[in-house]
Amino acid sequence: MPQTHLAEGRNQVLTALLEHVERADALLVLKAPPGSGKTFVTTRAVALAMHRKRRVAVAAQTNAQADDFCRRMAAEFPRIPVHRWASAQRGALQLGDSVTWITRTADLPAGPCVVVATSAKWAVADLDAHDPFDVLFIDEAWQMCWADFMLLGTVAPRFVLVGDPGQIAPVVPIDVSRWQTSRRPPHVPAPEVILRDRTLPVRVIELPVSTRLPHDTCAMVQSFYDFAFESWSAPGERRVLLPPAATAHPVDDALALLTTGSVALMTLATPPGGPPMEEDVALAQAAAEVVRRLLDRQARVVTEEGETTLRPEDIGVSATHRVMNTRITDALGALAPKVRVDTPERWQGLERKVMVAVHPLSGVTQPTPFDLSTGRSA
Amino acid sequence: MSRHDVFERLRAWDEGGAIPNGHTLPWLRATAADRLVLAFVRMGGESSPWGIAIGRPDAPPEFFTCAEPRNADLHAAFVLAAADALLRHVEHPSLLPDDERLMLLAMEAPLRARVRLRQLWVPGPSHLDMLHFLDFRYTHANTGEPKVVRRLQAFGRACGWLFRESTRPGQVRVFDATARLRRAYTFPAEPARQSHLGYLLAWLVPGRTRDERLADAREREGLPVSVTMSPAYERAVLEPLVTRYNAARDDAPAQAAVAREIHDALVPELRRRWELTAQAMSILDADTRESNPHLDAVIDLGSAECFHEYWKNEAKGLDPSLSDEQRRYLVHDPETDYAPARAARRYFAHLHAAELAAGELVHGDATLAEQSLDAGNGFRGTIRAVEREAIAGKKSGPILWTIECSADDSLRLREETSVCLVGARKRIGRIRSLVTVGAVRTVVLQMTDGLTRRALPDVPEAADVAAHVGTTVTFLEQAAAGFTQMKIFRVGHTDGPGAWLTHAAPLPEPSPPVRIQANLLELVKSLQ
Repeated sequence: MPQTHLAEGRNQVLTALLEHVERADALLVLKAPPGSGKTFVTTRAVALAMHRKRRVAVAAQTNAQADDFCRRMAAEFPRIPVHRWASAQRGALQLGDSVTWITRTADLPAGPCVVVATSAKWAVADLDAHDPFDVLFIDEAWQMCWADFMLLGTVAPRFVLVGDPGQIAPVVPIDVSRWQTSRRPPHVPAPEVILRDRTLPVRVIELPVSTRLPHDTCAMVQSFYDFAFESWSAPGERRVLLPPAATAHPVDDALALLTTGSVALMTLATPPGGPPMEEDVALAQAAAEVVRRLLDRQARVVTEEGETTLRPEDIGVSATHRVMNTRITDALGALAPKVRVDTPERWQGLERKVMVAVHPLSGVTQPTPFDLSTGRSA
Repeated sequence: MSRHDVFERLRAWDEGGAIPNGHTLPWLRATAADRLVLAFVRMGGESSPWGIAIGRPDAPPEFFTCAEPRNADLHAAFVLAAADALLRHVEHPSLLPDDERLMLLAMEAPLRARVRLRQLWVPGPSHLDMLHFLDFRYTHANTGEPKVVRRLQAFGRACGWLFRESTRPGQVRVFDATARLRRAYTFPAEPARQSHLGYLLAWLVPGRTRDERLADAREREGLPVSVTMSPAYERAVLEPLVTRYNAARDDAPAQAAVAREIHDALVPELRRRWELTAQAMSILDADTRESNPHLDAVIDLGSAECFHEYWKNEAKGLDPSLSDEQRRYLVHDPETDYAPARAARRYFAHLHAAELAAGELVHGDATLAEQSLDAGNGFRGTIRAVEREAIAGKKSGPILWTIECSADDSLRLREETSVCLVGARKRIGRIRSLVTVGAVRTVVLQMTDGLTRRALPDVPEAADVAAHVGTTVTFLEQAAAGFTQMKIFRVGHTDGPGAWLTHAAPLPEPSPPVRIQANLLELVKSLQ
């Protein structure tokens, strides 16, 4: 049985967010662990703000996130009109009956509205000819550095920043030592800069439950967060069921671990000639083999919702380098279009029933540079 | 290290010496008049220089030393003596007649042209750090005669700007000779050894075998080239002299004599560092490779940076009507970009500089393009189809190019990435899809820019099926430099409604109190 008693805590956080919107306070930061319902609570807060006749702006960090947010609004609040403001170079997408696709600043609506765009779009938009927005919701705010956030000061006077503090910080391709001692370092995630400044009138709330992560995975990632949260699922509630195999396969021992817990570790020995540099074809093939074997054995997945057969669409693969991901995609062959392969930062906010993570460590618990350069495991 | 780096280092070892890296050099050769070579030495444990060698490469350097660098007055006097050469090099406005200074301040372009190719060369990174130390020590100097203090402050600010400029990606103003040699050549040595300028130069001596060069390099690396001298030399030669100098504090003639001895002991150390730098510069000048033909934008950005980040404020600061408080705002803090908006502007400026340098230079050097391709930042393949996408209700849809590549090649790019055509960089496409089947990776590009003869007169139009199908093309990731540049300007806008948070403007009026509805969860549910 799921830990239903945790629902009360989540409702309290949602109520706190809605009260913040109702009072039209200036600044709120919502910390949320993976799969804790960030979008769920944000869509509700946006709906309430719109109901109160406010002009609501929503900033997502990528076009895909902005599109997803619109789809969720259309599905859950079909009576609330939403404007998806995108680049003219992107073809219009059908995101739902209540979503209008616009590309020109002149098409921004007057009066109460919900407008969803990427942070980059808001950052360079000239909004002088329009009424200011009342509130700006920033989704996946930990993926946005302070310098980029500064550009959003032209959008609205009130801010709600929603994000996962355990996510990977924005990738900065330049040397940032010059700004390490700045009062507001431009390269640091915006919520961190805000939370460091004790003079700001900021309210912080934390979502307490992850519905995405199984019980033991929650415990594993907890150390990356400065607040406690629990898994919606009870210990041992989620697992993979594997029918007996007709023939033996090298990855079966690792897969057997998934029948009792949510994490299985499989290692691959470093070849005699030393580790490959960035693309590891053998490791890519091993990752693809795990996927293929799960499907060949017709694995079934048990969750709080019941038992289902594992489909290719339910599996994801992640490696830290894009070139490595290309190799894994190649190794997946015909399965590639259905099994998503991507880098960890692109997986943020997404979920699959089973994830295969290709990790550059060799299983050591205290990795040193030596381990990082020589080890590999899947 | 990339595969290319490993391969090239092994090749250098096989050839027995340094081998060229790339088809071009990513900077322009300047005349001796535009160049200044600068080297420092410092007393062990101190952060300020003990001696300075400075001069144009076509003349012997001047040597300035300080007998006792821990004495603040002596140190200031020594720095003051060396300051002129550096201030002349950066065209400090205080050295110009008033009318010329005002004209340059008003017109910008003449000053930018004047400093366009100015280069400061130092032996290595520790000498760049010394510029930062001098910035800390003298930018806020406040004791002494006003005229002297102003000159010391100007020197500190010049050092500070040059140090900051040295950290801007792609800059061609401040040259760390060791780093530039490593950029221009591949050396058959491990990275730690390649930090020594003398060691690198030994690998570049012509007409020798590998063993001879290696023996020479090992011998040369025994002599220090950083700002720190050999501890043995300091202990045996300089320490007794400094002790004698301090002991003679009541005997001015004797003290002056010891000061001359200290000077004579420091000069060989300074000379070696200065000459190694000049030698590195000569070798790079004599290299048969051309400069990268796409450097103009990079150099123009450098001259704009010089004007806006340094010279303009220096010139404004000379206005006698300014109060000390007003003048203070023209001075950059040695530690960091203190104001958040300024920090964000510089952050975007550095991002823009990095994107510009990478995006421009890769089109002027086939090796850079190959390295970029090897790193997965692009693809090469054969065009299999050129077609217009049919869109209901529109006369003509976007042009799509279908390109087949080898699936064995690395690829970092993903859907939505913009790429530009090598050889016709204004032709830009956005990746629509990437599909790998067997050994073939098929990329579908939606062509977005540089489609017509008007945009690119020398190449067939993007929609020309006959001209393109069957040809091999190379696309590299398109740098989004213009977008970041826009952010540099926009981040300075302090008048937005949210500026209270983003730009520390006054807090907004609190919202009037509202009565919170009893059950907001139910209210929201009713909206669904």
